[in-house]
Amino acid sequence: MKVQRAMKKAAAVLGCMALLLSAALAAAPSYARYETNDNWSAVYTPQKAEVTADYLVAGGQTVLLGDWPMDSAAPRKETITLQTQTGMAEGVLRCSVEQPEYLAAALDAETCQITAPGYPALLTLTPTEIALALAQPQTVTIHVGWSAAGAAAESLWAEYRVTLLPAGTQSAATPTGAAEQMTITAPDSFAWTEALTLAAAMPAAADTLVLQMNGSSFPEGTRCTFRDETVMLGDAMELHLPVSANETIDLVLDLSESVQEEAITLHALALREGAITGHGEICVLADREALTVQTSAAESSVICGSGLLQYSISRDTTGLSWKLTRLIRTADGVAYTEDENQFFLTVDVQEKNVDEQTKTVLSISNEAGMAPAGSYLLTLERLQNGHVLSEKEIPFFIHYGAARTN
Amino acid sequence: MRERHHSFHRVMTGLLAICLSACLVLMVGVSYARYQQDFAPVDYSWTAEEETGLILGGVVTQSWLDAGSWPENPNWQSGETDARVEFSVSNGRSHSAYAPQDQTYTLQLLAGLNINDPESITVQLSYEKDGQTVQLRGAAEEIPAGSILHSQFGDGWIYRFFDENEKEQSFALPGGALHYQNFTLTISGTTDPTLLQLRLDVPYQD
Repeated sequence: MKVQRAMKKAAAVLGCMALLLSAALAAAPSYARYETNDNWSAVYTPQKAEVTADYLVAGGQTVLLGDWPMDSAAPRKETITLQTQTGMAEGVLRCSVEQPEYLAAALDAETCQITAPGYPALLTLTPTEIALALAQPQTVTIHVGWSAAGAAAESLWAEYRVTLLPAGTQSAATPTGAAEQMTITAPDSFAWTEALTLAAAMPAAADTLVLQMNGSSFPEGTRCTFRDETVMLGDAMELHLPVSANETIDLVLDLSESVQEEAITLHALALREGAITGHGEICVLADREALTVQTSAAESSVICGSGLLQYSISRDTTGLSWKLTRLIRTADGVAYTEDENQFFLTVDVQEKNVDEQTKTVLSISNEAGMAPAGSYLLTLERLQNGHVLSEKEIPFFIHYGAARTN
Repeated sequence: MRERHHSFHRVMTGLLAICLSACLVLMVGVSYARYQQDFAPVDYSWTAEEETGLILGGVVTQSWLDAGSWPENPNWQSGETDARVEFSVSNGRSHSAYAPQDQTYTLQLLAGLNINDPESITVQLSYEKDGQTVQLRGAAEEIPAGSILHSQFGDGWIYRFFDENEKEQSFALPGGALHYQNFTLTISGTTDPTLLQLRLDVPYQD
């Protein structure tokens, strides 16, 4: 009896196990015919019909115009050139004055069609009767902005700043005074397509620093960053910067849109209540190799699996730094984010012999094969004294799985 | 009571025998299926990418067939504001090397997250059917986070192509002879540079 019971139990257990095994084997052929695919990749690089302008920029900037004596009611005209790299873009250009009691501002056209050759919009500033009767200097700000057709916000804008001088104002007399030698420091050389950093130590008495280029004005289009504010010169002019006694200041000059010369001399004058208290000058050669990156065909921007990318960059890597970011979804859309492990990618810069030439090669390697798939951005910067002299962006992509690329 | 016990015992024993037999048949069936794949009379070899025998390649023309050389890579042309890829899907590479079984497949286009708005580009798949040109527009959806596809491609969009019944369009290639279908995929619209991946998918087949 006990044996029979044991046999019954064993048969029941075996039956259940067989049922389970059958179910598993029935499913196994399905898993054996797994979903497979072939694929092929390429990078789509259309040229966006983006509008650019000589004085309007994304995020806005301040454009300084030369002082304007109110000797007559004749209007002042400023040209703003808009253009696209390719195709045609439509949009609206608007202007407004913060102090309309002094100036009226008007554009020759509001709705514009911008093409590659460029569209020259004309901004006309007309002084009012109140401005013509000024007894003291008055600074006026004019806002100019571009909005693409159908867009709610401005994509490019600038604030023009002009100081109206009372009629009959004489040119400022050449400052005089006993001047002590100021210490001016700058790199020995720079590249025209990169910024130039300058540092100066103020004398014991100073409230204004006057900077000149080659003994005269900086060219129209020069950009100057001083104390986190960047201004662009809408006219050729000297730079007048507010400073304090014994202060060491540094600033960044971007002369890339100016006349290119082999060398420039920067003159600095420290003033205290209009009198010279310090002077200095420095000569800088414009013979430095700019930071460049050579990219070839589109497939050079794709890493499949544990591969790598290589780019030839400029030989001068002084001050070179890089940053890796990856494009991800956020609550507000998309954004590039950093990773403390650099996404397990390795960036390396080495001199290598390529085609019987010594070149500086930058490599991005996913040797470990651990970088998340997606879209990346390698940002190269040349830094000096904490200032960015130039910047290059290299987009690249990582994906996994057996695939061919074009 | 004794009779019920005997009956239960017989039932369980019979069930055990049936299940064991079923297991044996299934095991043999899988082995036989693999036999067919490995030793079918047609001369072709299997690789991991060609488990189904379907190949994504260049546009097939009669001159390619006459020359006996197979166009390996799709033809990619990228312009200022649009791009085009001409390709084929085939079940082999010659009249003597092809898959024996009938196949169905779908096509999708993956696009990277640099396309912030999937509606900013237009994706169109066109092919010839019965002498007529058929054009299908791609509809985008997010690549699901955490999916295998996401681990392979990352964040982005998957464009699928649907028929008039709003069902994902599948294509068929008969087996037993060389068959192919030529396609043109057109992408238009301006966006930041982005990675595109054309995928050939073979769904589960029971």
